[in-house]
Order: sequence, then C-alpha cells, then structure tokens
Amino acid sequence: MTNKTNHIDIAHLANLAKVEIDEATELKLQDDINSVVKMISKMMEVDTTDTLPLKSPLDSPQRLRPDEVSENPNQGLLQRGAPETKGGFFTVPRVIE
Amino acid sequence: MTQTQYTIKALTEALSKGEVSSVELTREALKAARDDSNNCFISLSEEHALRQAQDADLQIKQKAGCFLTGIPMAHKDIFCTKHSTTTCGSKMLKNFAAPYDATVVKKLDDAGMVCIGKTNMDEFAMGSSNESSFFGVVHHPWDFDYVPGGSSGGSAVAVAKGYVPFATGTDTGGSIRQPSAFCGVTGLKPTYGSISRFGMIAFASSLDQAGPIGVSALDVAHLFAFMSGFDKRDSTSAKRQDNWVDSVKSEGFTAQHTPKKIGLPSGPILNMISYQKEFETARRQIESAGHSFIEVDLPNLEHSVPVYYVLASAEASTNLARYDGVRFGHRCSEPKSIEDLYKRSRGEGFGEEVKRRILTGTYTLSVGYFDDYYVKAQKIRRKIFDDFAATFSKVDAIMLPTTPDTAFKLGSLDDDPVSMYQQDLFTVPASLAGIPALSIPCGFHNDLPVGLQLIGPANSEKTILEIACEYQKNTSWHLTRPNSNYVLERF
Repeated sequence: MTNKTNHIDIAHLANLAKVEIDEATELKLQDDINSVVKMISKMMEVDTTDTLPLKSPLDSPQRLRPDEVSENPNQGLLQRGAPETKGGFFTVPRVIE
Repeated sequence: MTQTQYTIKALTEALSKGEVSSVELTREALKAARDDSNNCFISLSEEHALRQAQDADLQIKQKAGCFLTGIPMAHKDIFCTKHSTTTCGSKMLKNFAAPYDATVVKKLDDAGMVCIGKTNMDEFAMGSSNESSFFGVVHHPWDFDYVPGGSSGGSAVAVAKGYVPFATGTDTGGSIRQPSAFCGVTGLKPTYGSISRFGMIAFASSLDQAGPIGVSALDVAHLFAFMSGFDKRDSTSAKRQDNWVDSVKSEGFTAQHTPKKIGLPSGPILNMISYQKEFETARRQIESAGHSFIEVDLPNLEHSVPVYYVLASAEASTNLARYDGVRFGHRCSEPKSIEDLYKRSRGEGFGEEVKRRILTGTYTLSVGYFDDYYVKAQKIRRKIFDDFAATFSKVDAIMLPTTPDTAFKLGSLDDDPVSMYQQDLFTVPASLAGIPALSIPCGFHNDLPVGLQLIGPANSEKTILEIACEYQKNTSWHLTRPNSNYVLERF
C-alpha cells in the first residue's frame, strides 16, 4: 500500500473530479493528500477477513417510495437559482459541434 | 468573573407569565446578533423574525403554544430556508435561494420558534475549526484568538455568547459535539435517521445527522423531541418504536433518576487527553449521583479516524458532483465548453478544504483503490458497529471525552490536515455506528471550556439525556459564560 501513495497524480484526480486547480494548489494538495493517504493506510493493519461491509448504520435496504406523483413543483421557483435559463431550459455551452 | 445564561425553560416561563414578549426577546436577540464581533452569522432575517415573534405572542396569549413557542433561535446555514439564502458557508452557494424549507425548519416553525438568522459554518460542513468558511473565520467566545470548533461553530458561539438559547447544527463526524465542547454548550448528535435530512445540504449521507445545540440537557431533550420524527421525504428516515418523543412534546421532559451502568474505555486512549483531571472529576460526580462505571473494550476505536475520512470523503466527492454550474450555484464567466464550465465553476466555487476532500474521495473510489480503501473502511465500520453493540449488552451508556484537547489557536493547524482530522478521534466512532452522543460541558482547562461525551445505543437519547440532566443539576459549567457576553439579565 505504501508504494501507491507515491504515485498520486493530483492533476488526473482533479480532471476526474472536474475541478480546476492552479499549480500552487496542486503542489499543496499533493503534500496534503499524500499525508492523508498515509494516515488512512493504517486501516490495513486491521484484519477484516470474513467481515461484511457496513454501508449505513441502518443496515437495511433503502426504503423506496411508490412511483407516483406526490408534489406539483413550480418550475419558475425551481429555476430561480439557475445561472442561466432560456424558455424554461437550463442552458450550457454548445455540446455538439 | 463570569455570568450565567438563561435556558429556554426559564424564558418559556417568563413568556407564559407575560413578563416578556417574544417580540421583545427577538428584538434583543437581533440587536445582539447585529453587534456580534465573533462572526457567528452569515445572514440575519429581521422582518421574518419579527413576523414570527408576533405570531408567537398571539399563540402564547391564546395559550396555544408549546415549550418552544416564541423563543428566538438560529439555523446553521446548511438548512434550506425559503425566507433567506442558504450558503453552506461556500462561495458556490453564495446567492442560493432554496425553493423549499428543510423539514427541520418547518418543524421548528410549526412549534412557534423564531428564526433570527443563519449561522456561519465550515464550508459544506467540512472542518473542525470553522476556518474554512467562505464568509470568514468564527472566533471563540472565551478567547478571540482561538477557534470555536466546527463545523457548526457559528451555532455553538451564538449559543455560548447568549444571542440565542438554541441553534441547529449538523454532525457528520463531530460537528455538533466538538464545537459544543470547545464553547461550553450542550450539543446532541441523535441516532442516525431520527431527524429528517430533507433540505439539509448533504456532505456524507450515511453519516450526516441534524441535532440541537443548546444551553442545558433539559432544553436539548425538548428540542430533540420537536426536531425528530419520521419523514417520508428522507429515504433514510427511521421510525422510532417508543412513544418517548411524543410524551416529551405533550407533557415535557422530566429526568428520572435510575442508576445506570456506564462504560469507560480501557487502555491508553484516555491518557491522550489534556484535561484528564477535569474529566476524572466529572466521572466522580456522575458516580456519586448513584451511577456505576465499568471498564469496556472498544478495540477498533483508534481506527475510527482513517475509516471516517475514507467514507466521508468518498461520499462527499459523489454528493458534491451536483455542483456543476448548470442548475444552481456558482457559474464561471464565459465558459468555452461544457468541460470548461464544470471545471472552472467548481474550481472557483469550492475552497481548499472541500477540494482536498473531493480529491481524496475521488482517489479512494478510483479503479484499483476501491477495495483497498472504500470497501476496507466499510468492513472496519462494521467492526466498530459490532464493538458498540457488544459493549451495550453490558452497559447503558459509554462516557468518553469529546475532544483530545481544548480549542486551539486560529491558524495553528492550517498546514497540517492530518492533525486537524485527529481532533475527531472521540467523536467519529458514534457517527460511524449511527448511535446518539451528547456533549456536555465538564469544566475548564487552561481557561477554556472542555466537554465530556455520553454515548448510548440507537434510540437511547432519553438515557444519556437523563444522566446529563442529573449532572447539570449538580454543576453549573453549562451556565458559565464569559463576562463580555450578551445575556438576558432581567430574568
């Protein structure tokens, strides 16, 4: 595990997470995340053979609601915080050339 | 040297006797909040608050109110409110106006409480010092150069300074309990699923839980009762099997004295705290009230911090994917492509700590590391959960320190995220197990407040609150406030 911590590619992670970071931040995050990963790697000392993962403290399947309309959302209200809308649509830069 | 602060119980009695009106209390709270120099608030809602106070006075006059009617309070700025912005302490949501109220907001509105504003917090609730807020650091109530703890630091300081007797908080790994301990107030992280997360901005959904920060355990018991309850809008909301909460709402909470068996972890872990003397004094006081202590073994306690930071960061990296600059939140100027829109909007909108956690989560969830980190952490979470279950077959509650030390100086852990994360050593175990944990003030060390934590099995809030109420009958740490405080002196 310890070898893995030497190869953390911050620029690649930032690209996967779609977060732009500048060079100074990249250097700082490199050090920080290396030390965080070193800290979390201590988990490897724990024997978890035959232990099942626990995803939630409720430890039961998530409750699903019936597939029926229960609310009547107001489109204008829901879109009032949008950075840019047009004709009731959210707009983004052109995706298809 | 110090002043005392009045509880909701005292204010409710004064309101019902007509000694003061909710409008008067609200005006005083608003004035104190306007004059605040600790940076507790992100926004104030003066007109909204005064309207609520007028309604509350009418209810009180008609004897239609409850324990909380007419009491000024504040919401952590993580709860969506229709009447004001909800920023989550982030540039990303600087101008976000939620289209609905969180269930917690609605429940407290329905109880007749008066919301004077929204409190400052670590950005997206990620932090233990309240230094990561886009809206500036929050200062400690007893010493301006120290942190108040986080992430619900604004709420803890607003209560400690006496502006309001109650503020909401959220706790993912200690964000109610740690600032409560640092500031000398009482904070409860309830059982996971007992208070609705609907309208509470998500950080790590398998851990996030709302709860009250108040003056006394008695107040907190009432606040919990009015905040909790099943909500069909939250798919992780759980139904309680007992009627305790309903009885508190209708008849009030009276702590019963029944001797409890309390577990104290064995081994060197308690030697890690700086305030051993104060902790031991509190233990003896609880013991002399008729409770007994036995040593218990929580073998995986020390692994809680790594497990927590894997799971919380992983969940955060997925939860925060929704901030894409398209539907709400910050958008960069003149994006050249959809990729550019995402990257620059998120790069500009998120602060450093949030980026650190998103990238840590992205790393632990990526191909080749998922089993090593994420699944491994979930397996150790099961062990921690099982350790608590085994322990609660022998004891009614567990007592732990809330923090390893007192509040630390502003800026002192800026360059050392791992040391900052270690602050959560005693709070994350209960978060991972989803069980209730209450922090109560237990003295002062180096002139700063310190707290102890009472942890119980799922849905045992009554038990831990009873122990705390009894302790607070015999001590006054929870009422001790700095001299500079704003206090409602007339009561």
